[in-house]
Amino acid sequence: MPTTVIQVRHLLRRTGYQATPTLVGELSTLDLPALVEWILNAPAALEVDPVEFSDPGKSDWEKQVAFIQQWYDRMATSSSPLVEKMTLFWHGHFVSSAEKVGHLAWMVSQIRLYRQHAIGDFKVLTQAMALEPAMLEYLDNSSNTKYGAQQNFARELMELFTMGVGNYTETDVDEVARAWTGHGVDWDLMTYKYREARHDTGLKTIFGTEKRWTGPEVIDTILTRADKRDVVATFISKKLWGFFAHSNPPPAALQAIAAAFSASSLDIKTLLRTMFLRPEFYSDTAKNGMVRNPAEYVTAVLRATQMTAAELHPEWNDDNMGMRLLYPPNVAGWKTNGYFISTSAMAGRGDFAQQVHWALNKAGKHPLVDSTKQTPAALVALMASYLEVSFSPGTTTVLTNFITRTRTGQHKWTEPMLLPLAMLTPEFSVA
Amino acid sequence: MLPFDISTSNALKHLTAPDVGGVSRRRFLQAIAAGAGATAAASLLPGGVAEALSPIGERDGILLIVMLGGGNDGLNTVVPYGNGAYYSKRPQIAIPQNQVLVINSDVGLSPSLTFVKERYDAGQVALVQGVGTASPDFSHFTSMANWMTGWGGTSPQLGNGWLGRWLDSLTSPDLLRAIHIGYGGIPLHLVGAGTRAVSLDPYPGGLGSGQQAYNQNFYSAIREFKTTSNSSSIWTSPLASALSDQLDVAATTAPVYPASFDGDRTAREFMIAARLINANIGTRVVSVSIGGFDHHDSQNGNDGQLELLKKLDDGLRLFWATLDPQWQPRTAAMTFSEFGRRVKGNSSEGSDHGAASCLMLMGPQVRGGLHATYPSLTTLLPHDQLAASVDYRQVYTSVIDRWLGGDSQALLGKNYEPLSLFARTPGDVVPGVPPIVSTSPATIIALSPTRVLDTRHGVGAPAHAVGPGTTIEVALRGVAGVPPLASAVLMNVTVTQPTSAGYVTVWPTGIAMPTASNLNAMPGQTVPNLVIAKLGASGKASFFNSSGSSHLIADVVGYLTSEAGGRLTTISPARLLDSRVGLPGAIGPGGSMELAVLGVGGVPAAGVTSVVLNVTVTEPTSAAYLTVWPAGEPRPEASSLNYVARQTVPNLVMAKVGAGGKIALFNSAGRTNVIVDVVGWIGPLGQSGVVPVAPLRLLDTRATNAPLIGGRAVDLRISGLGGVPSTGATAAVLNVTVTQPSRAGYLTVWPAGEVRPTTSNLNFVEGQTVPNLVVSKLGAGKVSMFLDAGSGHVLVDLVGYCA
Repeated sequence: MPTTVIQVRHLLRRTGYQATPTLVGELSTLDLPALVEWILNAPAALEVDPVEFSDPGKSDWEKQVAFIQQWYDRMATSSSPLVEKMTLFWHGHFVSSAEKVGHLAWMVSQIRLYRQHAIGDFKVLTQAMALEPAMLEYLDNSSNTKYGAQQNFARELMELFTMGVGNYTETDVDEVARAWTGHGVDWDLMTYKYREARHDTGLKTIFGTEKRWTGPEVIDTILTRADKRDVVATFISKKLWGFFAHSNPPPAALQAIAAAFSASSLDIKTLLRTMFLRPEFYSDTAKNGMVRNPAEYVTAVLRATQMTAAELHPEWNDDNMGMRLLYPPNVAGWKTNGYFISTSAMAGRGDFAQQVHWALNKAGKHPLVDSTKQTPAALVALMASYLEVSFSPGTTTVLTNFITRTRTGQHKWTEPMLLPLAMLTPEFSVA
Repeated sequence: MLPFDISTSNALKHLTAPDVGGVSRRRFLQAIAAGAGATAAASLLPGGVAEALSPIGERDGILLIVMLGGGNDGLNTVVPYGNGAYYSKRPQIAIPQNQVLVINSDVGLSPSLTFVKERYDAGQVALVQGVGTASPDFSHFTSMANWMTGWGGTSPQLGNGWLGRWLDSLTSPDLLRAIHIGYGGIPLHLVGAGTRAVSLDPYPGGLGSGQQAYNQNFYSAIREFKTTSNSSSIWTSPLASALSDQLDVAATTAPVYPASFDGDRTAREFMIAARLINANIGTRVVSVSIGGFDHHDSQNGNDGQLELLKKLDDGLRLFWATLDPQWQPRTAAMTFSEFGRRVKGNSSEGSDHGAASCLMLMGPQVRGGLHATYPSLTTLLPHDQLAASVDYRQVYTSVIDRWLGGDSQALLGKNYEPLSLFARTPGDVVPGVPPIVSTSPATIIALSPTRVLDTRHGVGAPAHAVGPGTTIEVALRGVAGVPPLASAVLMNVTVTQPTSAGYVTVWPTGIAMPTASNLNAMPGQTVPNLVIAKLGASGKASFFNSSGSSHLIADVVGYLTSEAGGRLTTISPARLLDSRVGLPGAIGPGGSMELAVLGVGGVPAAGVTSVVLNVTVTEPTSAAYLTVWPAGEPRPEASSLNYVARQTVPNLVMAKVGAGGKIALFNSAGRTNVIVDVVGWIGPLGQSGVVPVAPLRLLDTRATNAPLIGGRAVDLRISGLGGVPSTGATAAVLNVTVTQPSRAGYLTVWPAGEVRPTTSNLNFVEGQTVPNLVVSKLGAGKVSMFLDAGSGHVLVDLVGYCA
């Protein structure tokens, strides 16, 4: 299958890469399967603690800010941006929020787990996710005991994490809750702890089978029993198509991807490979189908400016833009596309664009510092290559007119605001 | 500054509203967009014309919708404390009987809901019990989507919600008809097929609020994305529209943000919700949310339901206290949540997802009481679930039919039996129950006096005396430098040529007249008094003349606003001038003098924009008036005191400080002596804002026929009464009237516990009725009053306090 420059560019952008003309040119020599393998097998960056973690003078808050900034920087610089993109996906899928969890170490551990298995085995990821203190605390399983089961984790495990509504009964919810009793945290060691004495060892009927179910057995059954596994494969495939391509996958593509995922015993890399090789992934609908979520927007800016998150402070504006890392809005995580388009979310992007403008000025790295020596058209072309964006003819006119107006008005010194303006073009906000 | 165009098609709908009296909505918006705040807005409005236009109808209902995310436990909100099963099924999390705010022998409210209980007792809260659906879903998201969609039709309704469809149905849609306060997406209930709410940042300064010309150049380019962008992505057009809308929202809502606010994010959202309505920008639905009700664990612990319901209760209290009394009869608040909780508690001292729950509606037109029936705690649906006695879409039907207006059957896809949740329709007069008044201190802006009413000369009203039992209305908003968002106006009101003894009451147009008076006069007497007149949606004040016919004069001298401005420091009274003693002596006919007011009598030498004075005229030789104004400015056509020969007349005067830190005094005819006592000063560094309250008569010695006896001080408690907080109030604003004094004399008011100063607040002759506004510091929450000799009846109306 021959690849075109447009295909390469599209695949690189959606898998998290900066699609520079040089890189696109180099990779266009590969055929599509080889290109996909190149992306899937790129080495991920090593896990390194931010230096603030070992500084006793830093507060938990400062450590958290450092962790978030490091995460943004990883998204911008990792040699496997796909792993970072998938880490963000799992953060919005197997959700915990620092708001409720309260311990940074638990959130860090959870995010690192998601990164470790980001494109690995979904079964391993799901089993490990269930035992992370952040999850046990967020969905209250830490207090789920045989003396009175509580359903929070049991329900979301089936509804949001694996199968979706309609694939289990209310009795299943009751019984899965009993199966998960006893799994909690050790508050002295701040680690996962299973307490046999709190586990309900009685008979439970789950998915029509009566036995002495344990929690991990429930996950294992959901992810391996053929009928359940197919449901899971479709559920996850659909969500990932919506994350990478566009909402509402074409049925044939979904079926093929889910079948491959199920047949691979839920190997995430297999799912992604199948998806990236589908012709539908390169349709006009797919190419025009995504809004950059705020983290992707920030990443694109970090790459274009060659600045660090510690300099641009995306954490000051991410809540306004609608995606605050470590603080998903609820247990269903973030939605996509239209979810990030609202008046206040646009105000958030506007605030961030202004912040970037000032930070570049302060650092002496503003690309438009000598703007007055160039023609309006040249400045707009400079912005297009700097931000790696294709402006439509209409947008090009708007940007050109902006410079013309500043030159005829009394505020020539505001010409460099072409940069935040270009960051606010609709073209820069689409993926 | 560039004459920029802030309009897009949506904003244009404001701008093309009928132009009454020469004030155009466009100018109002331009002024606000200029960002210089309310003061600049006022300066762009031509003087002497009507208030800013109301872009929504007088009888249009406004809804505050409060989403309680996570599934609020109805059993611990409206608590069935009389039901033994409640305690036996959830022993760890049940609210103890002695903590329940009792409604009747069966149910009561959560102890967190003290404000809700107060309004319930006032007949203004409808509690809908057992609300849910016949086919409950226990997924947060499915259930919430069902509630938000609010659709009962056969063909599914995807991607839009009940209020969104209501927005679609409006014949005059508008960008700001529905506003969700928060970040991220617009919640589904506010999304229609073609229309949707906008979201508003709870904090100010967002994209579009810049004031400079270069900002406007930048914004113009952003607007052009919408008209000229032509990319192939389906998302570029929505992105461009949202950006453009954000510019409109920021420009229009800029004055809604307070200069400072101490509360948390939730409190801020409720406060902004009320201010959006007060701002009169066409908004009919405001959405706020409180999340975290998914209490599987530690329901009554940290971050538990008790705490969240307290946030709700505090939020509602703040909302209604911030909402201007004139908007209250057009506003209702409603809560909802995706489901309730199971009856049985779980092992984590929490409760799991349930079915039926309760919700509430609150407002002056709501039919208070318990609605529908409480679900049985013993006859349950499978999985220990409460059965709904009423469908949530029946509630929506009532809200659409009786409050918002619309075709509920079309909007909900099915004809649901409505509940009787409203006693009256939006805008009806509310019998019996007084409005909730603001508790947030306002700051004070002094103005050079401007006459807005003079019935002798046809200013502000026809040129004839006001008859007995007659009320006239005077437009004050946008007039004489009073900006659109002023909460109250300070006026010097004078009654003259009354044909019989009577009184004048001034109050906000649109609400019931309070039992209080501002001026009392005998036949032929001329009596002035400073009046704080609250302003509401109409921007008008009503003036009532009780008997005989009288001419009324009103001069605006300042206003109160919640924007940044001056704050008041009350000081112990000090005498700055007594022309009877030393130079320059009495003021001659047409004469004027200047008086330094800074750096004297406890007033700082700098940082003072105006002073609050008690000015007394004594021994005048002829009928005349006295004008107090800022030195160095042209003398305005206004009066601070009016008097006839030999009369002694005091009046509280707020005077802007003019050139050289001085004020000027002018006597129109004859010669008169003048006494000036300073009682406070106003400036950016002042101590406290002023909170006007609904007038409350604290004292009327006529009621017990126990007049004040001369030579003896009495204390009057202020703190904790009539809306004044028990702690935190620093001064009282009182309208004090002396009537039937047995001899000529004076009355002094000062902070209790301090030595009585050598000043006076009211001066009178035998048998005279004299009112005066009094601002006095509080001592231990009290003021002291002293009548110098003889005896006299005293009436004290509380009109405000400083905090």
